[in-house]
Amino acid sequence: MSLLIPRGMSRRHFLSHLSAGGAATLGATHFLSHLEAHAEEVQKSQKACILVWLGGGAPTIDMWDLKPGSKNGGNFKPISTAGDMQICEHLPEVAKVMGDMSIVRSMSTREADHNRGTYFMHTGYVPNPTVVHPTFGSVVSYELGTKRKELQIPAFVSVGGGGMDPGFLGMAHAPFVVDANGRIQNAESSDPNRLNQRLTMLEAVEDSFIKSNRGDVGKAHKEVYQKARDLMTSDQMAAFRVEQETPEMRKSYGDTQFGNMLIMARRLVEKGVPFIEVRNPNGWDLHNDVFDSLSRTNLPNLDKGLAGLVNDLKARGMLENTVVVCMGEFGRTPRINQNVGRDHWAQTWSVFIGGGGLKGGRAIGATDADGLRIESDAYLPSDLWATVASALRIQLETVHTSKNGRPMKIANGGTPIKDLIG
Amino acid sequence: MSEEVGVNEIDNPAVGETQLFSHMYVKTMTVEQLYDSLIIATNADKAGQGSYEDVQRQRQQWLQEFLRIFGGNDDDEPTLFSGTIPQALMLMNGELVQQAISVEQGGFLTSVLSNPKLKSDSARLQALYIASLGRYPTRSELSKIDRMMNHIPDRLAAWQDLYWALLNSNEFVLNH
Repeated sequence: MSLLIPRGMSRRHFLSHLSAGGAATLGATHFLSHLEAHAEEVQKSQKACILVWLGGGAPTIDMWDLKPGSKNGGNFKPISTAGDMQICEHLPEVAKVMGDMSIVRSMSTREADHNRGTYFMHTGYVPNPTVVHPTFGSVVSYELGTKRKELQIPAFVSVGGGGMDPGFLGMAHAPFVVDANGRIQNAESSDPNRLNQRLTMLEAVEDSFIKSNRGDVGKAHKEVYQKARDLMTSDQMAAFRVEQETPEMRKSYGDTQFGNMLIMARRLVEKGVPFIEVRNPNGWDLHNDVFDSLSRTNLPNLDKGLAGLVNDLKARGMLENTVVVCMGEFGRTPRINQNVGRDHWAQTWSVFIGGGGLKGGRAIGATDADGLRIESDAYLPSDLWATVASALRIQLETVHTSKNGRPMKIANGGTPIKDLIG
Repeated sequence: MSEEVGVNEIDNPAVGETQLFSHMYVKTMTVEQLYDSLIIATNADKAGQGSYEDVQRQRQQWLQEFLRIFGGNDDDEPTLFSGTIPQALMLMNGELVQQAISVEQGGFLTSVLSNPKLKSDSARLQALYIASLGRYPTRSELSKIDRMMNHIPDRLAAWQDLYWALLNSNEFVLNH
């Protein structure tokens, strides 16, 4: 077990507990199990962000910012929520949790190509051929993950693939990819004894090379292998085993593949993983039959999953430390095309965000009656990630340096959205 | 590589000293170098059955996988061991290394173990060292490994584990 001294607890404070509680009178095991339980509490109260990615670009005009009465309005009706806004009738469960969550209705992000938009929304930077900017999960891994020594799982986990590039922060902060069932490539060891036998052999083979005083590279190599072995045999790997949850719990997330992916995300947050990206398995690039696809599959799945996640985080006391963001690379055209679909559109769209101490129940920004123009302050992905950074207590003054020596502000120097941070 | 290790101690660029070129410094291979080394050191693409096309397709697939896990940005030369767990996992448990140590016909390990010219275990051991590290094992390595292998009841498994260790060793990955 690891003896963690939680942050926010000084040595003096810790010692005063020891004397006041009369640790000497307690059995050692009792004391240790108390510490272990405490360590679990600490991990739960660490800051984290779960990004739910709607790949393809979701028609947010049909989800979060409906336009009843407009020719662009589409088929769905708005319903009231627990928060100060209305959302789509096909998101009834999410409507109940909107008291804790908010919608930013004035995203205006100008990149309406899948690749460019995906890059822009993940990094806060417009693609630029001279440099690869880190996706925000890598930034969080770099800023928070490196401080969490007890964490054996990599600090940025991508459930279902995707998650983009660590850019100049380096491969150590790349997304650690697991599939929707929690399987990690190359991490399954059929026989732990065999692995140990091999590692002992490896030690014997390597010994002389490290001793020959060839700098730190050999040592670093050894450390990575230790980390990989630790991971393969770590108790924390249980986080990927969603099947350990009760059927009721899985049902509360919709009992779908997407629901299980979100449960996995919550289990990872409990272990102290600061950033998890969950890729929603539905396709959102709805150029055709947008209303059928939404009402039949996409929205019911999303509804139960998102609401299940928010409810579960709240019930565990984790919502105030966990930011949940749900978005794709852009929105979709207010105009409905001849195939009853909506095309790519980045000028006016919405993002679902909340938790982590951000203000809930709010609709921030507004679009006009047809959803074509923004009638308030407009926001960029950099503002969104600056908001998340401030919720995660990452200093906004932080500057990283790209490989070619250029200083890069965190979240591209964005400004936290005032109505969310209060 | 200088034998006079003591003398070289003042020439260590890793701690920021200016290079004096008294010995060759340790540096990591690029991804493609490692990949090629693995393919060559193991006959991995020849193990098992398959047509020329199958083998080429398999090679391409492995290379793509390598580039994905080791990072293949165009903007800088991908070097190994930026220190990530998936990289280590790939070398520990990945398909390429599994093929390399497989006991199927045509695989490198089998060809060494069944080579009639290699008459003793130490000759076989030397062949594996040459193939993977490009050098003979030292006397102390030879005796240490021999002792370890004698503890493993399954002889074939012992050879597999040894070759696994050689391919996973820092000496294999680091160009020195």
